[in-house]
Amino acid sequence: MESSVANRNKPLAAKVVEFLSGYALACILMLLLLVLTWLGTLEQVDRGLFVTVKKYFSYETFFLFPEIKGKLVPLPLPSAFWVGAVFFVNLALGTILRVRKGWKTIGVLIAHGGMLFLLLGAFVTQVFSERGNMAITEGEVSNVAQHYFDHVIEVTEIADGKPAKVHVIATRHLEDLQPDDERLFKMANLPFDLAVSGYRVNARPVSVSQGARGPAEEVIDGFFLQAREPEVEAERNMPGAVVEVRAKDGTPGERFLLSTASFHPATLEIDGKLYALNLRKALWKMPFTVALDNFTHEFHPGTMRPKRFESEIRRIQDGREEPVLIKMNDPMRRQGFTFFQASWGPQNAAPGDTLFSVFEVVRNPADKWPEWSLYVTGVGLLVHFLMKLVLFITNQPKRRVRAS
Amino acid sequence: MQDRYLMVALAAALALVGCKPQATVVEISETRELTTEDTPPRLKATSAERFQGSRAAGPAGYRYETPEGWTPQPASMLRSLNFAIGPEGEGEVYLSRTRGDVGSNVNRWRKQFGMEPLSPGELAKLPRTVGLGGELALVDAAGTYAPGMGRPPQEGFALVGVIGQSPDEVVTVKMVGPEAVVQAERERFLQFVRSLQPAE
Repeated sequence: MESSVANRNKPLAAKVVEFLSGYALACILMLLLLVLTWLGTLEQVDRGLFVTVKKYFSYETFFLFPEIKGKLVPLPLPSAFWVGAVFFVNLALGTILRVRKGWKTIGVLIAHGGMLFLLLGAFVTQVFSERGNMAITEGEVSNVAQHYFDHVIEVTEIADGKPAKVHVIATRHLEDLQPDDERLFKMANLPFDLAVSGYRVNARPVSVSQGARGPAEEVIDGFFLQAREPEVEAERNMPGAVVEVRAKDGTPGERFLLSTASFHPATLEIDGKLYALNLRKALWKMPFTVALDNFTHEFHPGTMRPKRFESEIRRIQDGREEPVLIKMNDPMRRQGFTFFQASWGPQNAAPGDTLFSVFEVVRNPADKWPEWSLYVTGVGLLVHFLMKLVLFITNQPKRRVRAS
Repeated sequence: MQDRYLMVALAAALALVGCKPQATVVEISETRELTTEDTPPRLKATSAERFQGSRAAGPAGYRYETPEGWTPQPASMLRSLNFAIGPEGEGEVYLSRTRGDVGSNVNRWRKQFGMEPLSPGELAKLPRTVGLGGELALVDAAGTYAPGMGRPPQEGFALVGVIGQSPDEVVTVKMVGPEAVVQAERERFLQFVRSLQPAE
């Protein structure tokens, strides 16, 4: 009764800290993480990995409704990112305020530090990591990867038939657009603006003579964007949109269909100057150039299971060349970038054909943090259990004396 | 009880933060550096050239009749002709020009379905059909389709394809997709193959 009265008289801040550092909250959060991971694993079968990871683990989502076999479950759940963030605070406060400090608990403190580091690594990966791929044909060079899922609209200024300057409408300005939305992009350094409408996550440009058109699908120059269901493998989506060029005073001009499925950009001519308009996967320039000298591959006999994929490359930077062999499970790590051997093509290549190699490119400042945090946690637990064992053994004679 | 109020307050705060209005006008000043991808573009291309590629200038060097319900898709480096088939476009038909010989391509397709390669004697006994101005080997396969290139195996798939050889190249026409779709489209596929002729 007394403790209940004392609790009631505590200041609000103390109650908040007590709640945030409590075991009860820790249990709820761990249970939530377990449930979210389980539901996310079920949902990704139908909805695909990218969409599900974004829904369950992105910092942009606060609450979500799970879906099982396409049916909405009317149970709002917090996203795993924010559960993890609260768990980090809970674990940090718990370690500072509740864990006894002393040489006997040093192992527990180290293990808690390892777990905090793991959660921090997850946060850094979620917010700061980037992924894409770089495809290079044997004998060619590349200094650019393309993002798997991010699409952008680019306006390229053309001089003497070549690209001179590229203006980019970034993914973050496009990804929330619905087919009925229209958004005006005021191009600060160009003599015109662009109004984007009819944005579809997955669509194909189809000739009116070859496909059935819905009433809402606008025809431009004999083609329209035929909407498709988003792909389960989201990197295969091909977005499309209608773009209207507008003068700076708002006067509407030419309209174009843009699609990532197109072979060539749309061309715009204003005051005798040419511009290329393109909807494409976002490009990501590397700080060095990669030259692919040779690619070799080998499968396990009678299967399509890869046994050995190897790319002999040269990393070229500031006039210096470094030969590197990139193999399956043996990536190249340079300047914060990791190049994994991902795939190759063409699949129907005959012996002697020129091949291309595809590298998955990852930039993750917390690349090795999970591994290090496991070491730290492991050391902490080892110290703790060894100390418990030593204490148990050294206390045995005392216990025997007490018992006798 | 206090804890519950705290939970509710925290949830409400997060929900409010989550509501952000959509912008209708956005100022853009972002640019990016030129890369090895920035080769001189094909300028002033027509919509047909932009969306159909080489097919726009006389469909990939072939004359053919597009079966009802097939949706033409953009051609690519490996697909001179490309169609989506089935109610949801879940199957595909495409024509490729490649190297090698008929046998290696038949066995490559069989391998994608986990089937044993055929011996030269068995290859000679494959059923035949006509198209592309000559006789073509007809290949059937069904089961789990492993297309490779990092794409996951797909169960319950089927393939019907034809392969022909000229002095310079091997031409393949492959229909692949869920088994029900492939079986439903089989006759239309064979009719399409019969209509295929090299353009004059």
